[in-house]
Amino acid sequence: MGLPAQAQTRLAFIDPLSGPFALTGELALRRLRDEVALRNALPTARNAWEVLALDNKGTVQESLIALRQAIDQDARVIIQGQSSAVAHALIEAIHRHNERDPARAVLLLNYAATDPALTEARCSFWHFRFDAHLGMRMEALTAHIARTPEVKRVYLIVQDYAFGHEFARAARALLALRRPDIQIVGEDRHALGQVRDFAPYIAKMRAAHADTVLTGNWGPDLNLLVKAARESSSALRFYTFYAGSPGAVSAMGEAAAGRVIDVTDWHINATTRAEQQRAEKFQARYGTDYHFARLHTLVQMLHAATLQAQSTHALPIALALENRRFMGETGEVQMRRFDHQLLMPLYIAELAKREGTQIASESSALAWRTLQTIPAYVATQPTSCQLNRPSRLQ
Amino acid sequence: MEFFLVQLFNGVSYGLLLFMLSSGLTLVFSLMGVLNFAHASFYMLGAYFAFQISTWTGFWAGLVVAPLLVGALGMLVERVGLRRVHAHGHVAELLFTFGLAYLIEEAVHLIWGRAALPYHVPAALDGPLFQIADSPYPMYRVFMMLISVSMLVAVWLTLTRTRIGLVIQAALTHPDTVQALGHNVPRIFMLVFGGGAALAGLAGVIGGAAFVTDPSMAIAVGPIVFVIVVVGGMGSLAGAFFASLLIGCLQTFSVSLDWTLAGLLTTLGFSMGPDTPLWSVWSIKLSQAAPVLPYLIMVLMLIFRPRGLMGTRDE
Repeated sequence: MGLPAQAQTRLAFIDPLSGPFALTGELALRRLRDEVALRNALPTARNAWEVLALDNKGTVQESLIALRQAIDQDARVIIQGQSSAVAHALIEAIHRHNERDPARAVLLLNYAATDPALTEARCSFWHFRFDAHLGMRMEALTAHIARTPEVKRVYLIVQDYAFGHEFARAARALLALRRPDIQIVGEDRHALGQVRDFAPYIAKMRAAHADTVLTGNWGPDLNLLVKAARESSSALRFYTFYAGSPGAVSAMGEAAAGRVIDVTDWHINATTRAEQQRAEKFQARYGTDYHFARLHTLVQMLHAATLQAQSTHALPIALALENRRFMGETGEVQMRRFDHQLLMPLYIAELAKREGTQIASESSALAWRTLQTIPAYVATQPTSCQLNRPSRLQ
Repeated sequence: MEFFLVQLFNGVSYGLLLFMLSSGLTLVFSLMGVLNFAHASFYMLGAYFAFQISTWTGFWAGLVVAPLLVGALGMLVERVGLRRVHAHGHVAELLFTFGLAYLIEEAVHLIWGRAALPYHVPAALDGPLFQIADSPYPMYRVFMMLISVSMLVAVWLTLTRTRIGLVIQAALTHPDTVQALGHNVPRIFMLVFGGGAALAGLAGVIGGAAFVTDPSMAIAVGPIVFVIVVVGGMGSLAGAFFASLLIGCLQTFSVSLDWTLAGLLTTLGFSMGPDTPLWSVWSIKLSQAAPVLPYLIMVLMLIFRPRGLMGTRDE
């Protein structure tokens, strides 16, 4: 199965491009296009790749329609990330499609959906995750807290839905293991995106004498929480997973300085000079920050796997992706064969006033700086996954 | 006690912001009978205009100019759009403002993009003003309360003590007579609609800096504003004031309380545990349900007292 001379490989991008979550979708798409252009310019690129952008409006139903369109337009690789619910639905649909039509099988490359189940209980041979899942991030976070004796009284605040609940559960379990002396002095669950005024929550945290807040909140729920903390001059420190996502730094502003610590797979001050220069070019061209560095890893690894597989079919590419190592911008990463989870180093980074040669975030006066680097092996989680390999392989 | 006082202040200041948001809506409704679905969009425009002005001249100019701009825009909308639609009845007006809300949101996307803007509290108002026992209380919250209360007084005085206010009040109940007396009633409607929009714009200037200025801010406050107007009584300014304070305090205090139905039933002598049927319902904390409580109140109000706290319309 050599490559046909004129074959155009299509990568279908299925994520929200309209509606309330369009901002992240748009930024990821922009970055993906940038990465594909970079890959197309490589001397080893024998044909051009093309990105097919499909708007799923953030819903499962629209995602399934988009998947159909992608398959009909000959895309063999689906790239998605903005919702774990969507990822679960796509995997199920892809499974059925690949069983029925193995000649046109497709792969799902997930760059951001962090439900651990995607690579555990409900793992799939056709799914590869290029992001650290919730359990890995929590492992990294608690590894850092284990070395931070100032953290004594912890308050948990999460959005009241599956991800938030899992966040709180994992935080309690791992803190009990790593720092049994820590007291969890309160836990709040609030409706997703419904709360405008977080001042009452902050007052509650103060009354409980908390010194540290662990939160899985993202978007306005995170920004408003941090702004409310600054407003009431509280010295609370916030450990988050999503303070590095697009728009968060400008929305939080000064309020975040010295108050927000994020668990992240990448930030601009943790990367190479060459990459920083690329980020600056990107910034000048589009006026937005560089996000989703994982898409670089994803595109480069896919390219290498395609070269090794000498094919545009999903099955050989999937096999070539398994166990593949890649020297990423932040160290070596590896796609684990058992569950198709990328093992990667993580960073505990603090947002503070920009100093020296640090690069600021989102044209603010704030910059991320690394407090601790968590090597890949620390955050690595055991998996219960039993991959259902295609019958032809057994 | 300290905790209670802090939460009381938080509740009152949030309530007063809600009042700023809903007063324009209830005024427009009382006079024109128009339920303006685009009201929250004017709130959003206030914040965006204020941000834009603040990048050139600072916060204070924005505080004055942005509401005026939003008011002018409101008058324009009434003059070229709503007035024509008016002839086709209330449903047409409702649909018009509904569509307008979408148009404004898309326009904001096109001009300012989808990301949140770096619009923050000015340095002069940043920081604590006084202490409640050990808790510093932020100056901006007090500023928010001051603006809201002075707005209430100003609107009240305008409506009851000025000539234009008297004409407005007369036009509310007897538009034909007022017209016959030689007053330009359509122009009064235009002024009122613009005034309502300006009030929403002012709330946007204040709220945008305190919270987040992004394209979802209109959708986020839209429903709660309607709840206040319904609970307070459609068209009643005083009703909107008390309903705002009620809902502001209710939400704030319910956040502080981790009571559950299970706890209540246990004190009443029932034995409850994770094995009890429907445990997921019994174990919901009051703080968890806080954001939903205003809607519960609205439903109860509509069942037991459809005209609201201080409403006068019984239809």
